[in-house]
Amino acid sequence: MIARASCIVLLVLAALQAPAGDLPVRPEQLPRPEPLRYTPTPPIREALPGGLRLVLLPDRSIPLVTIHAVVRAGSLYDPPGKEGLARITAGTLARGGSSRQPANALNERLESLGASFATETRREVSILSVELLSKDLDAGLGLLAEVLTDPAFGAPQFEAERAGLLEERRRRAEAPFDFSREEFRKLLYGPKSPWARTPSAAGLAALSREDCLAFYRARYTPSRTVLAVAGDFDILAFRRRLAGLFGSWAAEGDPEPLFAPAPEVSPRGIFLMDKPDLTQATILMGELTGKRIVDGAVNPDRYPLDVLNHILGGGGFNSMLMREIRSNRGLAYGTGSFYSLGKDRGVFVAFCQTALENTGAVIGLLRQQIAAAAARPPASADLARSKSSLVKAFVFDGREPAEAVKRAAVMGIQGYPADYRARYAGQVEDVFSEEVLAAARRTLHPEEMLLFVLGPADALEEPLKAYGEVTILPMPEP
Amino acid sequence: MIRRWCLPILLCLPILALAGAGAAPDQSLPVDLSLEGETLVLDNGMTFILLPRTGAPVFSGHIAFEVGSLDTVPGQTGVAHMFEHMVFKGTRHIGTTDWEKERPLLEALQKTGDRLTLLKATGEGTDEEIARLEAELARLNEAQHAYIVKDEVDRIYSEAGGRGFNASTGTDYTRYFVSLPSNELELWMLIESQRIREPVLREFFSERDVVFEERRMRNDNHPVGKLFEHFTATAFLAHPYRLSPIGWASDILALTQSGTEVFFHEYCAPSNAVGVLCGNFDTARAKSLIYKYFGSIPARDDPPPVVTKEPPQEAERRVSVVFEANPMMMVGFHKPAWPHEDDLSMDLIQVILTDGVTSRLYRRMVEGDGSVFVIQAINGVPGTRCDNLFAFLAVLSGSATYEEVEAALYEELDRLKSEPVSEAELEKAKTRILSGLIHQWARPDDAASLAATYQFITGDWRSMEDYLRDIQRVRPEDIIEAARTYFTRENRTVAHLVKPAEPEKEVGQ
Repeated sequence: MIARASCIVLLVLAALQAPAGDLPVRPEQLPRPEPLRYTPTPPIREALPGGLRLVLLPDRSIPLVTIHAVVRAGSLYDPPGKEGLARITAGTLARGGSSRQPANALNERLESLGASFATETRREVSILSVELLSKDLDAGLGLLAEVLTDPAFGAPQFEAERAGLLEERRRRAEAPFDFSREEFRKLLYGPKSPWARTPSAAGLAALSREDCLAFYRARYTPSRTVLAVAGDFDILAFRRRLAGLFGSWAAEGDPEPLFAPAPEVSPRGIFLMDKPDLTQATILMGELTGKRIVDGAVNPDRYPLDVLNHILGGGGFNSMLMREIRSNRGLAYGTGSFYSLGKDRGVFVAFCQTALENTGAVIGLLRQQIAAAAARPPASADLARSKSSLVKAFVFDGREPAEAVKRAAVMGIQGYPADYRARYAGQVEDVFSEEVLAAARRTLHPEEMLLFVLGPADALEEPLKAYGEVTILPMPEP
Repeated sequence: MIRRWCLPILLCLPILALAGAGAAPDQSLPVDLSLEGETLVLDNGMTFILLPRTGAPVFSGHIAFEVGSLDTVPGQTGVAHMFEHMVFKGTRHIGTTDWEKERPLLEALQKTGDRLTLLKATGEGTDEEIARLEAELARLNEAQHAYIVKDEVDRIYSEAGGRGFNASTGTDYTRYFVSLPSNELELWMLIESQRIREPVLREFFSERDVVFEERRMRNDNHPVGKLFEHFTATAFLAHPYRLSPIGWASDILALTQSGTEVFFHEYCAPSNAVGVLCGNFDTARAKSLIYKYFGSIPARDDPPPVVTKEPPQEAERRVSVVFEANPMMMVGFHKPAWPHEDDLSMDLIQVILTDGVTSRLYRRMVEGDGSVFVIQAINGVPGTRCDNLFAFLAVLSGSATYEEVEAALYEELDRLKSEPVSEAELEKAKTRILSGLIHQWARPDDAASLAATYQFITGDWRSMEDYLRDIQRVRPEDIIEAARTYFTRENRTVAHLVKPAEPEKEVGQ
């Protein structure tokens, strides 16, 4: 069968020899594209008298509106021992009705509009979102205001949220990559750090609806909330409506807690978590990074690090890790890097999922590529490609207004200045190669990084030993 | 099968159902979707749909082929997906410093690599011969690398500010997509027309290893991926919906460069492709560029059709899938594909049963007795090009058993057969389908994908309007009729995930 196949190929190849006319065949043969001269409209930022902040971006081209209520009430604020509370509170708030109407009636009204509340809890914020046909804006916004300012935390909905999270925790090892990221963070920040801790089965079992109410009273206040709205709405009418809905929302809440600081020295070591059933190893290598805001301004390393990460492992097929591990050697489907700067400290991590027998080689390649990025300034072609990619993709902010306002709201809460995004392209444009190298040297220490591998210990211990002393960890209890 | 590193997400099903698809400017609909756009058909048979929009100066460009794992055969499963990966490796003009010098090396690589593949797949080669071929392959690879410009297509798009450059292969369709700033319209035409005119299958054998790792990640080390693969293979006996889109492991290792190339020539004819542009671009200019770049691609014969029909299922089928994970199950029923009118009722049933917190199964099983953590109905498994399954994925909570979850599920299906759905509940389901479609249509990438799908199914993407109009007309008695026809025990396939060394008890249903 195979021999027959190759005959056919040769014939077809011959048939395709016919020239395609005078078509340009290389991008360089095209006329240079006209510069775009386009700046996405920045959102309007304002605040209501009670302290509720607004990020508004009208776009009347499609009859839809998206509203995000972004609240500084993420898992960071879980009281110790009550991990998971922020998430259960957000979910129950969204689905558990209000003091004015029971959950079933409220949810029925919302879902009959063709809409649903979505919730998302991150470390620093929880987000309640709804997408509406603009004709239903009034009704949908009313329901959102109801649950946000006057939630009932219905008992059945609380139980469903808690049971759901409990089950998700019980199953977390079934998703090797997400599981590994959680364990990796615990090793870096310490298992009890507010930046790494996760819910325990016992803790979840002890949570009550009253805990949600207490969490809500402490953290859901107008001054901790940003309403981000994009789409087809009239801004004057919207303001009037908001004043009516949120004018009397005046909760004070608790003061901002003090969080235990992240370790000053990023922990090191080689950790192998034993999961005998896996046939692919998940490898994470990384360390703690710096703060996002330094002396009241954006950390100046932000821009060179964005460029560096794009070149090293965040920028697709041409990034160093994809090139060396995937494209050149076929050792993995998934490999790359990402990084964050933190309120306290963030994380840099390079990752790869590979066959067990290739694990040792891949660790060597990850380390080698990170070391190369910290040893030499980027090649000028790589620098130009990454800068161009980061700068030009900015135009997409205008296509995704709902994403743009959500990001603006989150970044506002995180302390970024209002003009951060508007100035971003210019800042990246100005990055030069020595700055990338200097930022890389401050941030990446390949010989000192923490290495975490998930997979069967009997197959992986030997190859890992080549890199130093290995600590074998058992799978944790859910 | 999204290409690149799309990392596994707990319970993220690797399928796209057509459910929630459809919309139209009908008097009775509350919102005018305004299906503005134009359709062009080139002399070579390729269709283009232009969906111009105002707003930011960007556009999404999609090229879709009506080809997927449906068009593969045992021994070559995964070839559609493998070909999709190869389209990222460039052409005769992109990805090479000198095609004329590279070409003989590529041909030699094909010969050596395919021979090696055959010997390894059959176990017939001697150790010496295999070692010799491996050394030869390595030598040729190195020689070819002197001419390869690595991942040049990606670099070009990346420098141009491209976003979301990727592709997917499913059972039904293969799609190639990217979004670009509007001033790069001609760049998109140049690259995409070349990629489908004359892709060069560079670095085939290392990419095959990448795909094998992809399989390990998505199927072998992922409970939903493995459950899904076994479920469809059990539900379909004859029809190619039984085949794994990424390919069975041994088939992936046996894929040859020549076989993949043959697959391209047989299935990726321009007449089997639909291009869609959605965004802010000049329509007149786009049209003239389309004629210029895509019009000169030579016409080829249409690919062979899928002729196999699944024989009627006459008894329930059950399969246990072994995986080190907590219980989850799939249940599916054979039913016809849209535009069969029963499919409209099945779309509505999907919404009534599991869409939103007011849906029947969510209320009963998630919020009510807490027997499941996730319950999801999907109309159109594993695809929608041919008659398919209405399926459920249920992820069980700690204390629940398969018996009780199945019993509750079948009780709700029986209720659909005997009790008419209330007007309010039916209205809500219709509104949710309409609203879901409007939200999809608002997102340019989703709109492009929807338009191509409708174009393939009916020959006219505007049939989306018919779909939505027809959905509005479905009556409670239609739902009863559909439920009675398809939700029968003999038409049912059930797959349970079980832990190793814990053989499953007989389930008496």
